[in-house]
Amino acid sequence: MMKFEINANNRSIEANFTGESSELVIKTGENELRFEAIQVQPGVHSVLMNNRSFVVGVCPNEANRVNINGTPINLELLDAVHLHLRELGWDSLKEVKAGLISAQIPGLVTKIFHGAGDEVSEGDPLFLIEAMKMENEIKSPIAGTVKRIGVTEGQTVEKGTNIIEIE
Amino acid sequence: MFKKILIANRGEIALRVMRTCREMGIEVVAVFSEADRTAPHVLFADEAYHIGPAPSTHSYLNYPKILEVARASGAEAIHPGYGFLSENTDFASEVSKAGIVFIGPPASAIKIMGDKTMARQAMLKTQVPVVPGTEEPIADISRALEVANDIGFPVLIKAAGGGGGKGMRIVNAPDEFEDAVGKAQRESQSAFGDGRVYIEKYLEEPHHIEFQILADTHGNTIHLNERECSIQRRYQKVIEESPSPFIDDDLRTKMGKAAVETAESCKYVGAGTVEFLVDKYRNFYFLEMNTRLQVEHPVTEMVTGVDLVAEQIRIAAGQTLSHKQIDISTTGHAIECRIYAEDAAHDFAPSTGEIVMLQIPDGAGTRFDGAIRQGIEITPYYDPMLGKLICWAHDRESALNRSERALREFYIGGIETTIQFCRSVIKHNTFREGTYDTHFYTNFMDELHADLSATTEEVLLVAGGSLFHHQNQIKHGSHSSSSKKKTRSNWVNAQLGRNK
Repeated sequence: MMKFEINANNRSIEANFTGESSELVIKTGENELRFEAIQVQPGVHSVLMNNRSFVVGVCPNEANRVNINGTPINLELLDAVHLHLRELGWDSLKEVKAGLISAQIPGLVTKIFHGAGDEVSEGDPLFLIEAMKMENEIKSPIAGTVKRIGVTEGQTVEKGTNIIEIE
Repeated sequence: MFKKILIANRGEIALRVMRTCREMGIEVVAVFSEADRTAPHVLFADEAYHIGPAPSTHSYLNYPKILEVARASGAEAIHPGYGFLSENTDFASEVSKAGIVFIGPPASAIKIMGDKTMARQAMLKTQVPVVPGTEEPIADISRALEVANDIGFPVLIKAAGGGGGKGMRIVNAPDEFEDAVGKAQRESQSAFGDGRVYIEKYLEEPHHIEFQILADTHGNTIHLNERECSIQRRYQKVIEESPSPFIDDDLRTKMGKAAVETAESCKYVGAGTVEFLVDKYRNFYFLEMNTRLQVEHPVTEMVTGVDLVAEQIRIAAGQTLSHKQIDISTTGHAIECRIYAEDAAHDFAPSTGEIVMLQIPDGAGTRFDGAIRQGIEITPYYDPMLGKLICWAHDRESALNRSERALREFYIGGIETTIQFCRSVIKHNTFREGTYDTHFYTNFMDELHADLSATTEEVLLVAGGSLFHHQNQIKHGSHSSSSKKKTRSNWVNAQLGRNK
C-alpha cells in the first residue's frame, strides 16, 4: 500500500494505492475504488474506475499533466517520500529556481534589455520574444542582479531554453 | 471550367479549398515553405512547389515566386484563401496581368473596402447606415458638444492617434462632456503624442453580426444570411453561429438588403462579408467589408447547403450564381469553435511544439476543417489556428449540445489549445440563452477561467491513478512511445552565458 497526495486546481486529496499499476485499489477516506487502466493507443488510456469510463491522455513530454475526457489537468502526485520531506520542512523539491527565466514559448528573442551585472527590480522587462506574429514581453519575477544571459538578440530559441538568471 | 488551380495558402484553408476543387474535378497546385514540406496541404495536392524559407514574407507572401509557379504549373486560376495575399491589391492586379484568374473580387473593390476611411465615405453615399460620428478631429469644444447632442448620448470619445482603449471615454450626459474631452485629449497626448480626438456614437451592448454575400460578373448579388460573431477576445473571433439568436426576420431582411447594397456600391464580385455592429435597440451600422472568404464561412455552408468555395470558383470562371435570392433558405443551426494553439489560462499565449496525441471528433453533424495530424510540429511562423469544429443540428439547443459533446471528444496532446476554453463558453448560461454581446468575454472572463480549472474528487483520483500508472510504465520501460529524454543543457551556449 502506498500513500499519495494528489493536488490539482487548488484541491487536494489523500489516497492509498494498492496493487499493480494497471489495476489498483484506491482508498480515500471511507471510499474504496477499483481502478483499471489499459493503453489503447500510445499515450491514450481507457480507465475504468468503479465501472465509470474515462479516456485519459498522458503525453510523454508533459510530465505532470493528464487529459481526462477532454479536460486537461495539471497535477502534483506526491508519494510518501515527498510527503515526509515536506513534514521535515524541505519543501524545495521543485527544481525551478525563482531567478532562472527560461523561454515559455519557442520563438525569436528580439530584444534583451539588460547585461550581466545589471540591477533589476521585480516587474522590469527582461526580454522580448516573438512567436506567431506576436511579441511577448517577459518581466522579471524577482528583484536582483543579472548573473548570466544565455542568448543573444536575434537568436531563435526552443521552449525551456534558459534566457536569463537573476540572483 | 478551370482544369487546374493554384492555392496560394497553407493550413486548413488551403485544404478546405483543395477539397472542393477535387470534388469539382479540378487539379490542385500547392505552394509550400521550407517548414511545410510535409504539411497536410502538400500531401493533399496534385502538385506542390517549394517557394522559399519558413518566414511568410519570403514564402507565402512572395508573390513574384507564386506567380512563377502558377505559370510553370499551368494553373489557370489562383485562390488566395484568407490572410496572406487575399486582400493585397497589387497581387490581385499582377495575377490578372499575368493572364491568370484571381479567385476574388476586382482589385478596385479590395482597395475601397480595405481602407476604413474610404469605405466609410463610400457608405455615406448609400442608404447603408454607418456609426454616427465626426469626420474630423475635435477642435472647438462648443461645436463638439453640438455634434454630440445631434448624435445623441451616450457618445464615445476616441483618440485620433492610436488605439488600445487609451484616450477613449464613454460620455453618458452633456454635463460630463467637456471634462471628458479634456481628459481624453490629455491621455491621448501623453500616450501617442497626438491630442486630437473624434466623437462617435457609443453603441450599447453591441453585437458583431456579418452577412455573407455572393456576386457574379453578370450583375447578380445575393446574401446568404448572417453569422453572429460576438464571442471575441482581443478583437479576435472565437465562436461563431448562424442564425444569430439576437436578430429577427424583419431585421435580417433589412440587414441583408444593406449588405447587398454595400457589395453593389463597390461593384463587388465573388464571395464577401459585410460586417455590422448592432446595438441593444437593434440599430445596425456598417463596420467594414471583408473582401475574401472568411474563416467562419462553414457555419453559413452548414445552414444554407451552399458550398461557398465552389461558388467562388464558378463566379471566377464567369458563370452566373447557382442560386437566386429567393432560393436561399436556411435549415437548422450551426456553431463554429475555433481551435487555436494557445494557452487560455495564460492570456492566450501561443503554444508551439509537436502534436503528440490527436483524437478528432466525428459523428452526426460534426465537421472539422483543419490541417493537423499526429506527429506534426506547430511552428511559431504562422497563424496559431489549428482548425475549426463546426457542429450542425436542427435547432440551437441541439447544436449547443452537439458542440459540447464533440469538444469533449477532441483531444490534442503536446500543445496547449483552446478546446477547453470553447467548452466553457458553450456551457455558459449567457451563451446558452443567446443573450450575449461583444462584451461577453470581458464580462465573464473570471467565470470562464474558474470553469476551466473546476475539478471533481473523482477526476482528481483518476488523474492521480493515471499518472501513477504512466510513471510505472516508464520505470519499467513498457511505455511504447518512449519519452524523448533531453540530455542537453537548457543553456543554449554555456560559454556565451559566462562571457556576457
